[in-house]
Amino acid sequence: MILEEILSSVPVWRGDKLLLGHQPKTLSSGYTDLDTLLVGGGWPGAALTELLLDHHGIGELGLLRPLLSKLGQTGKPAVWISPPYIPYAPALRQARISLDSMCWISPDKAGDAAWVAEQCLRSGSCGAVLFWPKAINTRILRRLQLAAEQGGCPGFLFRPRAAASQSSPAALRLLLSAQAQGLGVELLKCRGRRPGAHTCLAV
Amino acid sequence: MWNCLNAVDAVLVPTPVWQCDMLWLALRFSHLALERLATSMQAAAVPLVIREQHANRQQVFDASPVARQLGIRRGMSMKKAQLLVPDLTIVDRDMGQEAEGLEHLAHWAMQFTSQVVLQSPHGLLLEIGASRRLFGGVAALHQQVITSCARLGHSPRTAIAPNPQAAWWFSALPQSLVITQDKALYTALTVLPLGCLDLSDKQRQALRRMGLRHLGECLRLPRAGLRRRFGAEWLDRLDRALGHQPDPRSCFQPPRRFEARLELPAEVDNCTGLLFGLRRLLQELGGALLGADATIDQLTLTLEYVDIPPSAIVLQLLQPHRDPDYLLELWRDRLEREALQAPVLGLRLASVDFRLANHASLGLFGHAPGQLEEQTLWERLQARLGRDTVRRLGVLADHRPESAWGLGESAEGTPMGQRPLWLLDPPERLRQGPEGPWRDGPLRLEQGPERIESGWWQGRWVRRDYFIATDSHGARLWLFRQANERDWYLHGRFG
Repeated sequence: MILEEILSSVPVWRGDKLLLGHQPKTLSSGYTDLDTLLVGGGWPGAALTELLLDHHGIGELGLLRPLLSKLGQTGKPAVWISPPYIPYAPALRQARISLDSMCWISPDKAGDAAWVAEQCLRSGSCGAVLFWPKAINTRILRRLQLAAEQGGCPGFLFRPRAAASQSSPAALRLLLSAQAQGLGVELLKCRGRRPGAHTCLAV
Repeated sequence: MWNCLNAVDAVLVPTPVWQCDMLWLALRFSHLALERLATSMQAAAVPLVIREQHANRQQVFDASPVARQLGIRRGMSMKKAQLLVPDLTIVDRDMGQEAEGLEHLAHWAMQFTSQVVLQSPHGLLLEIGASRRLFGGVAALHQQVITSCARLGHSPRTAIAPNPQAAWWFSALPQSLVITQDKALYTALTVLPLGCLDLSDKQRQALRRMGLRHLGECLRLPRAGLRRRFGAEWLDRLDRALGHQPDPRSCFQPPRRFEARLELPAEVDNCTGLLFGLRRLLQELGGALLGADATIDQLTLTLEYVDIPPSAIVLQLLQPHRDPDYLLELWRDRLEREALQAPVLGLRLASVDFRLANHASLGLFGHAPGQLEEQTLWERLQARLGRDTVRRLGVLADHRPESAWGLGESAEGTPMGQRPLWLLDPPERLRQGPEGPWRDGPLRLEQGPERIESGWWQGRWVRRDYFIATDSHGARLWLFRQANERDWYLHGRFG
């Protein structure tokens, strides 16, 4: 009881309160289980999020589907940069993702893709940036993270699970895996939360 | 009743707080040729002179500040100059280029006023009486012109007077004179040294022999005598300067297209060097566009190389623009991905047709946020990556999966069956396992078949049975098998 009083009266800094004051902007992921896992109840709205997975098609796009379909209502475009396959328009429409507010950019050079991602994040006119980098290093990651903060734009990076062993300036890193019940999501890094928490989503 | 109305009229009709008299700003570019060279040289440290042929002897027309410090003066013979400074850089005077340079400056000056008069060979007269209110007063406008000039690398002598002739004469004074009242004009003219007037050598000598130094002393002489000695034309100019006679001038009419060439003094083999020269051309273009109240949506930059024929780069804009800084940014992105074939010697910037600027009113509380930035973003991306970079997806009315999507506009409707978010094009042929399709392990069929049969009238007949399967990694795949065949193909992944 005394401890509680001390904590409430004295300016004591507590880990889980860390970013709530600084980062009020979050976007609901559309999945209640995931929202409770994340600080602020959703995807970081002005930072980089890394999704680590080894096989495309396990439900990584399903994870973002509620966010993307909500973006369609705001009119701000979601930019898909160098996706591994062709984003299939009929399926996007089935998933209620607005095609008008979606842009697909696949530059020929790998360096250009990172540049495009940075420009889109920084401009502040994009609703979300989805980026599948072929190769990326910490310097570029830091640039992208800064651009996302400046532009107030959520950036999603799809990287292989092997990248989990490397450090990254991204605000949020999630390990994705296919499980019998759906998509397994494990918190690898989250500002203001301890890593390790996991959940399983039916995407 | 009438009295009352009259009273109202008197209140409604505003008394003019400023008079709409003409006011002329004279810009005297004494070192026009030199400054044009120096801006492209980007090396002020070189002793540089411009040489001219004057009555069968070669003499110095103009010398750079460094050369002047070393003792070289205007009108000095070339022999003497070369004795003084052995490693002198010499450029021949090119009257054609000077005239072109002056015309470019007239282009630029159009942003301050619609009435620009060319005072050949190295002067501009700007009627600023009508635009002083827009720019916040005579002093502010004057300063703005000087600052803008400095950005172009010019430092002209300036003067402001109620008529063009007087302004031009005053601009020969070393200090800048600003006269807005007719009364002050007369006083200023009386103390004007006769050297400031555009006189022939003969006239100047005659005046000196008469013991005259200032214009005021001239004015006290009998007119008939002056006319006989110096001609009616000169007296006429004097009357115009005093404001006794009107002084109509024909204004510079800018062509509604832009073409300018800049010679780079040294060979440039990197993008930064090109941008340096390009900035200058774009500044001129910006002034011309502002003056013509126009915008452009296409620009062509021609690079002139040392040995090989020139090559042209075209910049296509999504929206018409005229801001030089913005255009420079676009060119930076464009040129960064351009590999120079050889060192560049010259730049030529051309814009085919000016479009009338389309002015949109801003709302009281600003424009819709994000709209403008989005255009800018796509423009930047296209400038660097090419026109077809930013793709928009659309649904097409076709049952064949590979033909049911396209770039661009959309049709209505969605397919009946489940479709994957990722499409593989072309489909990947799968290995045949012991009990069906195989990809890093057996694939477990979960749903299907969905028969898609279409396109026989186009020669691409599709008869396929589609299945949804799960692989050993847990990814959901979209497979098909041609009807009556055994081979399996992977056509999509459910993201």
